[in-house]
Amino acid sequence: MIRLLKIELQKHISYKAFWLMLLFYALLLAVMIFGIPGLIDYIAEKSGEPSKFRIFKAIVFNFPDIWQNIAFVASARFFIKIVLGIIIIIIVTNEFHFLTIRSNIISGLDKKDFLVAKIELVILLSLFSTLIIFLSGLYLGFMHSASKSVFDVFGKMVFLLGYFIEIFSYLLFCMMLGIIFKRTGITFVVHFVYLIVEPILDHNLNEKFTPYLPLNAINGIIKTPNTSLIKIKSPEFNYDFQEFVSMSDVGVCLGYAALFVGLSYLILKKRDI
Amino acid sequence: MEKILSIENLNKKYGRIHAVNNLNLEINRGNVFGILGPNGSGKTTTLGIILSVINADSGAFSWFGNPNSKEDRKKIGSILEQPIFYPYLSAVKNLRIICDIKGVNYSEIERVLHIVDLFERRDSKYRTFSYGMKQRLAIAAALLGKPEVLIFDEPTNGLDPKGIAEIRELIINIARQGMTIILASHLLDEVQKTCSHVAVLKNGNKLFSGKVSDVLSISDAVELSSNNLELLSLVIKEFEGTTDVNIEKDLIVARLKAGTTIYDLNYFLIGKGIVLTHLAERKKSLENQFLELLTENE
Repeated sequence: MIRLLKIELQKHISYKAFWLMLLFYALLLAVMIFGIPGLIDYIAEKSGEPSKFRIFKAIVFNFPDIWQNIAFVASARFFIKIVLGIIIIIIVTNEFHFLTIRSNIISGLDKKDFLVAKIELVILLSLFSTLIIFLSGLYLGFMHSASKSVFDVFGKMVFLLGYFIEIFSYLLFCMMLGIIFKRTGITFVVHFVYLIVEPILDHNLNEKFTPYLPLNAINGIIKTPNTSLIKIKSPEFNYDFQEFVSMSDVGVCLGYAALFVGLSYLILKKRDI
Repeated sequence: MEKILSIENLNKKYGRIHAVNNLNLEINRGNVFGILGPNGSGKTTTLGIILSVINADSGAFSWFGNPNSKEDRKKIGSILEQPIFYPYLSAVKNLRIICDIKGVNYSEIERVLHIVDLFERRDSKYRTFSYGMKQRLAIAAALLGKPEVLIFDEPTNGLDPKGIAEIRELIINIARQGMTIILASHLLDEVQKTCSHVAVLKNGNKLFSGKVSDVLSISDAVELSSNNLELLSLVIKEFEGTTDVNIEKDLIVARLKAGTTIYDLNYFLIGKGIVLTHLAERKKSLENQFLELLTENE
């Protein structure tokens, strides 16, 4: 395990594009995390109803709800996690483009080792992303939250675990696409087209099935938090918010993760490299 | 003799093309084994299969008498078709990855880089290398950890004459150290100069396999000439050691039976009082042999 991770990291440690993309991701996250409070203040001033926005701000950054809020925003499907997906797609398709998967196998890895090493990288990137969210949540919470009791700070931290599982599954999805399509450009196109196609499917399918669409499933652990402006504007607005992590959502998501890994393995095994 | 590789009834089809057709092959320790065949004869496909990057449709192969495993691949150094490395990594960093996969100490890197004369360029990125340097780095990678078997697929492809000479010398030097080498090539000359054994492939079929020296000695013919050509042709027909006697202009070309030497022939002629003006052995080159094999099987 450690040996495979070491081999995997050797491939990327001196790869500038890898670090640039990671840096870009971290910067985007930082801008978002540190920019949002300022943005809310700005809107508050312009809106003429500053008090409502101040309430909103207090709700958004309040422990323990902050964990669901921040995880929800960071894991949004059209948002910054795409940068991590792109990193995985590039790294996987590079191996086919440069034929290095072939040299890896000839040298003494087998196809399973190759896949396990990539999954370990996916885990590492997911941990990295979760760590940033964790640190940002602590910072923002301690800056803005009314309550700072230990109980509240750690209260809903289970959403971080949910976030980790979502990111992990999404990156496995990207890895699988890379393994199926092999070429970077084509994989990008398929990935983005699918991002657009699934919401269209979502619109047209029976509501019973839509939660089981792949992207819905791997975005399904962290539900829309109960902090929307709508609620503040109109308290009578009725929506059943889910403010916990449900095991069945986690199960569906992990089911997809297993499916992505299984398909990747079958394809690698069947294919001539 | 210890078997290094044995291939049994190996088959691989690409659509309607039978790339490898029921191939059987055995390679023993210490052989420098040439796999000779024109482009598209199934050489690379065969090597791809025995290195586990291509799945065979049927048949089996075994390294060192074991069933296929990644552990055995660690004892094999190989270059398949073209040098493959991470272009954005330096020579040393590329070799480190291979060391880690094979479980070889990093100290090996310096040794192999010296062998292929790339030590000075060890920290340059792979993509800055010329084709010849890339090929040499591939050989260095194959030599990591002193493997028991080396596989070279068209090792001189795309090199200039100087590069070709360097690589061949390198292979011959390695072979002298007693390493088992498998060399696939479409160049006869290359096989003839470097190999002890050869298998000839065409359209996925094995046409011939055996010692290179056997291939050469099958076709021994002797050129003779004398002041009286007619007498010579009459006398030589009395000699029991020839199979086939032809007159070509002012030469007589005789084929010798197996076990008969030029000494025997000359001794016989002297006994008959014939003095030769010309006596030479005509060795069919492997090239003629090879072309013959290919056309016979058209």
